Amino acid sequence: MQTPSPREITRLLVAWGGGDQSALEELAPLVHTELHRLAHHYMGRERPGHTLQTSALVNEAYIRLIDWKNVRWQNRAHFFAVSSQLMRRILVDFARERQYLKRGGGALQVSLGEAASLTECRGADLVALDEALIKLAEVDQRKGQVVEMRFFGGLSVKEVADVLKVSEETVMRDWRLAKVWLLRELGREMDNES
Amino acid sequence: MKAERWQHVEHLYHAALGRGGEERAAFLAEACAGDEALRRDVESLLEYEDQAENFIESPALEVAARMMSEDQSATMVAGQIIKHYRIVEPLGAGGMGEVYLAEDKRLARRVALKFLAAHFTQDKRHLHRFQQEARAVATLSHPNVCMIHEVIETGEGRHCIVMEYVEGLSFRERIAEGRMKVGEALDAAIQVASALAAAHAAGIVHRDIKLDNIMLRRDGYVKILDFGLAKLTEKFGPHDAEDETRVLELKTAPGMVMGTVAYMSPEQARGLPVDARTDVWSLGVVLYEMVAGQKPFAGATPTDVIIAIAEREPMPLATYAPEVPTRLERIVKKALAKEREERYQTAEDLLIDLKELRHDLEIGAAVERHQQRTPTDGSAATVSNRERVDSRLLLLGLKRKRTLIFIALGLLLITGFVFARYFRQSSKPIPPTEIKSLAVLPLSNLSGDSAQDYFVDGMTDTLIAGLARVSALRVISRASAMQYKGTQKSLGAIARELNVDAIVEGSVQRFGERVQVNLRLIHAMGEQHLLSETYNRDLRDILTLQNEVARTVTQAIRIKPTPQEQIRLTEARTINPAAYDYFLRGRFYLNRQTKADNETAIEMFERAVAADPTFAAAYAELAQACVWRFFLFTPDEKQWEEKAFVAVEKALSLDSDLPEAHLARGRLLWTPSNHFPHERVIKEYRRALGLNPSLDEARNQLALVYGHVGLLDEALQELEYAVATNPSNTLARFRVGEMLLFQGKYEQALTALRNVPRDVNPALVGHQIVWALFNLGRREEASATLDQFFRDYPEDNRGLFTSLQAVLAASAGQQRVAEDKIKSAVERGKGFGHFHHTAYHIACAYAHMNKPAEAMKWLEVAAEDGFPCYPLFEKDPNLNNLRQDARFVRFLAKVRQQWESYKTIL
Repeated sequence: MQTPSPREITRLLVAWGGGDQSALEELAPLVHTELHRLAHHYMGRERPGHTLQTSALVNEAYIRLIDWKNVRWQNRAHFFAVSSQLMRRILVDFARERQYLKRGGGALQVSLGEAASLTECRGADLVALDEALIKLAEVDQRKGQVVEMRFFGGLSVKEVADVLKVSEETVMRDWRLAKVWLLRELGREMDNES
Repeated sequence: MKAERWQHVEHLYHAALGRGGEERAAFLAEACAGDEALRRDVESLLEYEDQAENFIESPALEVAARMMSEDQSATMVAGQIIKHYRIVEPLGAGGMGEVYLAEDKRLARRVALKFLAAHFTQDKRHLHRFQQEARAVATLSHPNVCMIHEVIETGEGRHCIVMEYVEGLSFRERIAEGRMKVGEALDAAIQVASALAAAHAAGIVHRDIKLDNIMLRRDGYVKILDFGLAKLTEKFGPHDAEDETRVLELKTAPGMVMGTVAYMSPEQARGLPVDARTDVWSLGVVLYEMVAGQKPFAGATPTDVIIAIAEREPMPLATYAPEVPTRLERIVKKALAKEREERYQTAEDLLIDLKELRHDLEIGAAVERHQQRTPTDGSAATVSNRERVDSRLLLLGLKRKRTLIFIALGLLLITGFVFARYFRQSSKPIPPTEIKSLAVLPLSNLSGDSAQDYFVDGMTDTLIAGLARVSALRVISRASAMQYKGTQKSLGAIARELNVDAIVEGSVQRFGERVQVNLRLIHAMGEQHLLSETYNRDLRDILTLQNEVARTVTQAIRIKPTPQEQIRLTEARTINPAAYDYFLRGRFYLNRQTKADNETAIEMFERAVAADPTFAAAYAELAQACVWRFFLFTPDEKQWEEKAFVAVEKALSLDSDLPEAHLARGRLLWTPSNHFPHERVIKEYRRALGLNPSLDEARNQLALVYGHVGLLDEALQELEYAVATNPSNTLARFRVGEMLLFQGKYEQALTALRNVPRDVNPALVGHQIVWALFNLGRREEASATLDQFFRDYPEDNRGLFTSLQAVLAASAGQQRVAEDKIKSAVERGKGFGHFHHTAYHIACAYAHMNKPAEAMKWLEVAAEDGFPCYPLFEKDPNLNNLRQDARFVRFLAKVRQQWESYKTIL
């Protein structure tokens, strides 16, 4: 697949942000390509101590997808917001699809204890996380955005701070509280289910 | 309100974070000042503080990518498209990579995609060699070799083998359920050996035959996987790429390669070059394991196994399987000879021994079955005393078994002798005279039950149809072969009558869902046996058997099918036995050609397609039956035509290579209401004949169309071939007379027509006899014959006879009578589409009356309605009065042009 130019990606992002759903169909394969590239890297290749290299690869992938440096963008905040939303949408769709396929539709969650002790959000939880994030945004919109941009958009604390026009410290505080809030929400979800 | 409270929570949370233990508790108690809900809210968040440290710290893209890599099923997701393949679901993962079930969207078939793990394909030399091998395997079409369709690159440097999807168990899984019976293991080993023999003949050595690479399809069919894959794991020999010496890479991780090590030949284990005999060894190991349920060479570590392979003799099979025949023990021992020179030198040699053993075991079993069926005093036992009878039979068991063994041994000796004779003969060089034609005589019904006749005749048909696919061979059609059912004539006499070089004869016996077919191929000169085979098959595999017989026979007489025919001859299709049974019954009735039988046939074919809606051949036959129905029996019942159309299209959508369906389609198209689309129909018949050169009815129909468009020599040629493949195709014999008439060869035509057997519609033959007599100047005879036909068939609903009367009257100068007859002929022919011959006669009558305007009008009607027969118009003396007429000259020029264009499509 030929990689579209940053300009083309930007155009699609703007279109999608403006409500054009068909732009998503063109953007999703780009994300999937990056996913495959990364997954391929992880498969049987990764050895302990290679974390740095992995982070670099992920960053590279994000840069390819959300290449803000090469884009003349009058409203960077808007751009980041849109691209993070987009990543969220596509990745959650991917996780939902996979969950559906793997479990014949009935999503089986990781047990509460496991979920709480996980050092990272497991695949199946992407969907649950998305739902919890919707609730978080209702309580505190900015914290919702922070999570969306940090986790889904892959932005650094500084970038998020720039976009939201707050201090980095505020972003850190938001991030910290959002995480426990989400964990608590996910825990409740599972209590309800079991 | 809500937002304020949330700000409060946030503030307290961060403030509490800076405090630990009791200090935190005290702080919260004070800050919340009795608001218990608030305190619980903050505390419940704090509880998660410990777990939050790494939570969602890795970006979602990484999480998703890991997820994808973690579970292999997500490497490819369902619905994902790779080229024109759509992933359906994961099938599993092996040492070489992951395998998925996918749909080939272009060909609407299921395939398996094997994604090779990247490290196997990184070395360009390996990859290149593998691709070469894969191409070789792809050209190897053998029913027991899992077909490789192609090797594709999927991006990121990964490679993927697109191959036949085999649904079933690997033999590893099968053995896990318990060791196999001797018969079952023999069947499987024969299939594997036959595949290896074909591969070796093509220069391909598998190198990695093991239980995991052999699949048992649900229908009992065996498929060998991963041909050529060994090329990816072998190390290059010490000398370099040019050297053919390749060594299997020996991985040292215990457990990991145990599976492979156990099947290694001694030369492989020593790192020596391998050849086809390595596959023979590995098959020996597989066969041993199937029967014994144990590996012949075992050990705690790969090294132990290798030592056992190199030095130890395996335990006798009988240790694990006491019922094993000594001969099987010997076969396995020979396959597992440590020295290559002492082993079977080819898979073919091993195959022969295995087949021979199975054959003899089957005869033994048949004798036993026969004995068991022989009525004893217990056969009339009622249900109430059945138990008692059973126990008595049990008591008799031992004694009877002994006699059985005697009989079986006797038979073995005899068949062994006979077999040896055949074998000696078949290994002789091919007889001096080539075999270019053969007839399959009706197979005999060994069951003695005439209710099974339909099945036995059906098997005969099936074998004929298989052989008929080979265009280099003239195969006598079933209709002609069937007349020899139960004949006392010698094979030589039959061969002379049918003018063939060889005869296939044999017998069929059905045991429930299994069928045993014995076949002999006999040279007509000297009645020498060229081949003798016994096939014992599941009914589901009849079509595969059909192909196998065709392949064996063509090989025996050294006829080479075209590459396309070869492909068709290796297709392995399984059938639904119930549907096939209906199908054979339908064929049986259809061939009897009466109205009642036709109705039964249609019903049977309908049941066949109901039992198996993908049964293309049954749809084709259903279409044929409906075509016959409305051409021969009920022309006014339009529904049959419609039904036929639907069935034809259904058949061709399922299998566009069905000759019978193309024949039926041609017949359906070539009608008055379709304005006789000659060119299209010619193509259909040619297609049918391309697929089955012995389909004499397609030749007859093709000749009919050729005759109408004036390609008379070509028509005669087709008819000659039709009569040669089916001397009893009387319609084709009649057609010969008709073509000679169109050519103006009246004398020859009359002789030919008079020789047509009476079973052809006498009116059809009659009108042409009248025309021949008339043109020979034998007016009185013509007139008398015509009168006779009028007495027999007064209706003359095409007006054909009436129009002949008009010609006779006109040529005799009886103008008024002629005009009356013309009027009457037009009246009779009204609404009857097939009118062009009548129109032509009317034109002739007007020409005799010297009425060129009317004559031209009817001549044009004839030509436009499907009878533009230029050579006839050009020469027919009946039109002589028109020859100076400018309109006729123009007309003739036009028809000639058309005729020339028809010639170009030849």
